[in-house]
Amino acid sequence: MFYALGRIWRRVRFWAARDTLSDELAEELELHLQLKEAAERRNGRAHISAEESRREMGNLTLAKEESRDMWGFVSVDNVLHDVRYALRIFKRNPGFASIAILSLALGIAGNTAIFSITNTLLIKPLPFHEPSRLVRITQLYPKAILERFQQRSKTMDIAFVSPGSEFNLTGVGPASRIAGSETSANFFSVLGATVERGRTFELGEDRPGKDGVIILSRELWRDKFHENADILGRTITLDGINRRVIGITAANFAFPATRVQFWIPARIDPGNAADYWGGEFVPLIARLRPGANMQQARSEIRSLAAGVWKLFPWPMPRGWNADSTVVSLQSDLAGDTRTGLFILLGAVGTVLIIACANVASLLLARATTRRKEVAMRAALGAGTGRIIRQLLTESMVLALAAGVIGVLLGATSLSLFRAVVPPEISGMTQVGLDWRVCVFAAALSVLTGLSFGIVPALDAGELDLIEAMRSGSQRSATKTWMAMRSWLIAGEIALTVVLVVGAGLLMKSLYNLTALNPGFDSARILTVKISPNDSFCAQRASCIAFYNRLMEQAQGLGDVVDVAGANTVPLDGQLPAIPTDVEDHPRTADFPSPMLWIGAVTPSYFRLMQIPLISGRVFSEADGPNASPVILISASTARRFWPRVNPIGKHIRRTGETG
Amino acid sequence: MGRKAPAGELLPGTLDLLLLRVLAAGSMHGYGIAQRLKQVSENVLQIGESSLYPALQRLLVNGWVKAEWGASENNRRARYYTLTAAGRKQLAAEREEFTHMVSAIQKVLEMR
Repeated sequence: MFYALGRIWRRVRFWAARDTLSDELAEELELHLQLKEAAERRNGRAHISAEESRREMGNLTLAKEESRDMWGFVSVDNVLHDVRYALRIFKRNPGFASIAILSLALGIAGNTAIFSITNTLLIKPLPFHEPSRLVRITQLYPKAILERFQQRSKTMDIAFVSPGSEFNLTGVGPASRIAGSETSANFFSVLGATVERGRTFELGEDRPGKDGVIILSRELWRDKFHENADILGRTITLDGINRRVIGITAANFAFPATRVQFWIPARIDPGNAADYWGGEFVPLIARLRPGANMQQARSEIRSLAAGVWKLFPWPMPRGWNADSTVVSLQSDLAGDTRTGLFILLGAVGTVLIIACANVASLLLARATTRRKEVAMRAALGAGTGRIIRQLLTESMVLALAAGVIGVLLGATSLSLFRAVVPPEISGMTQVGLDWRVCVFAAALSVLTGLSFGIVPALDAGELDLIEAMRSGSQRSATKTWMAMRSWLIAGEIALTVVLVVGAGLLMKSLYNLTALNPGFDSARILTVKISPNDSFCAQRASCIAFYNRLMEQAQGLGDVVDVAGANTVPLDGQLPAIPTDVEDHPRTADFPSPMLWIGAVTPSYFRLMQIPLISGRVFSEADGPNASPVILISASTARRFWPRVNPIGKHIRRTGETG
Repeated sequence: MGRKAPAGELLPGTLDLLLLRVLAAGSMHGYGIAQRLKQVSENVLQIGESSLYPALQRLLVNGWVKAEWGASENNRRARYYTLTAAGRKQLAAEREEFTHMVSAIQKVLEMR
């Protein structure tokens, strides 16, 4: 054992001193020759023939080579030597090298970027405590059902978090709108997230009277409050309501969406039926209790949700939400993006394959011109393995250079991506290069280098020496490799066609989406979002007067042709829906009040948006607060309820109202 | 390319053994070793530089000999190789193995 150690140690020393040893050996050999010559002169053989001196040379060279082998770690030396040689070759052919490196780098960059995103959204576990136990109960529920589930569930701790809506922040610089989420008091503990400063919500803080607290995100604290250290305990005003700041979250915490900047407790008040049963319907998240699994949670929710529709104080459609189930939170968050990401992965993977094929055929072309050089090496004593290793080293140098550049490019494009992607996709803030991505990029580079390097290396391995040295060409092998090149190019073209067609189809879909006729003309129309606090319209008369005055003043501005007001901009998904009673459609157990989306607009709206009128009339000034209420319906609503009759004159009433 | 010893030179496996034995008789430089071998074997065993020096390096790496610079007969400096204690042990071991091998071959040659 010590013998082996000693041997290795000696080898290391020799390797370190190999240059000196080389000189010493040369000196030794020199002396040997001199002594030999002297002896031969004594013996009378003064002149050494030409052949003998050549043999001497060969012996000397061999002696030096073989001795060097003893000085340890030949392979390392060889590799370094190969690398230096490769770099020299590339310097001499900068055009070839840059094309090869660039095309590979682009391929690797694309894969790195997309894989980073895939890694963050799909692979990397959520940055919370024991993320595999986090689940989402599908479909949306009001606060009343949350409480019911909370009390009855044995397998899960359930919390409630709204997707985020905008609030007015006043009292801190100019008034601004920021988005925040309403959550149940146990939200942070269910999620398994902690705050950096202060505390999370306590039990009971989601009841009226105790809910005047707020937790800010670190980014909000930085942007609006300049990381002021005395933020905790400070009161800020949101939508006219004072709230005390009790905590600041960790950096980059943004749940459920990137735009959510603060969290307030939802006000769970069983006494306020309209809000308790009819307030915003939101997603429920939950954490599996120790010992419970998804299967149990699923069957539990199925039985809990089955009869939920009967509990509402007003009739709900039969079997509403009865198919609610439990899914892992991570896959729910990734949700829609999964398909898109896989398509993108496929696309960039194909690009990389095309780049590899490209470089392989480039190298193959060069291999034929380098035949003489390879043959020379073989004649000088390089074994086939050595030659193959040298050629592979060249490709690996290319691939690694491309890998480094590719990762840098990929990181840059990631930041671009982050800026462009809509903020609704949760987790985008955490997208970045982590160790998995770097390992992936390194593996990719190595694989790439091997795959396109192997082809010309094998080509070189099959050389017929004398033939190659003489003519620099090779008859039978050439045919095989020319065929291989044709296959490579054909394959490249096929894949490129696939990519181009795919891209074309996607662009066409996008174009079709934008070219759809939405039923109104939005050219030259500006929108202004006005959002006073709820309390502002407590006095109806002053509220109406405000808006009228606003519209008059807007009308008076320079280039304004027309002004209108509406409760929401078309196609932004923010319309409220109300249950209604429709004339000629009495309620049944299976079909109680249909929910209709309701828009409220000023009379000028239809004229402004150039929405065509099919029959009847639009609103007019005469339909004021004191006249009998009127309603306009869309053609599809008319078709749905009165397919064969003229709907003009029919009545629709909000459920619960009279008149 | 060719690593086989040309005809008239030594069998590869025994080279170390012979070198160690020569050095057991006293320290020598490379040329001296080659000459001694040739002399004692009456010109049968002739070793060239391409085999001698790599072999000496191998002996050095294995710790069986050590090398020192000294003055040679023509007043140039030369490297003198000396057997170490480990080398002596190795010599004895290889000698025994060689004898064993030779007697086995003899038995085969003299069989009926």
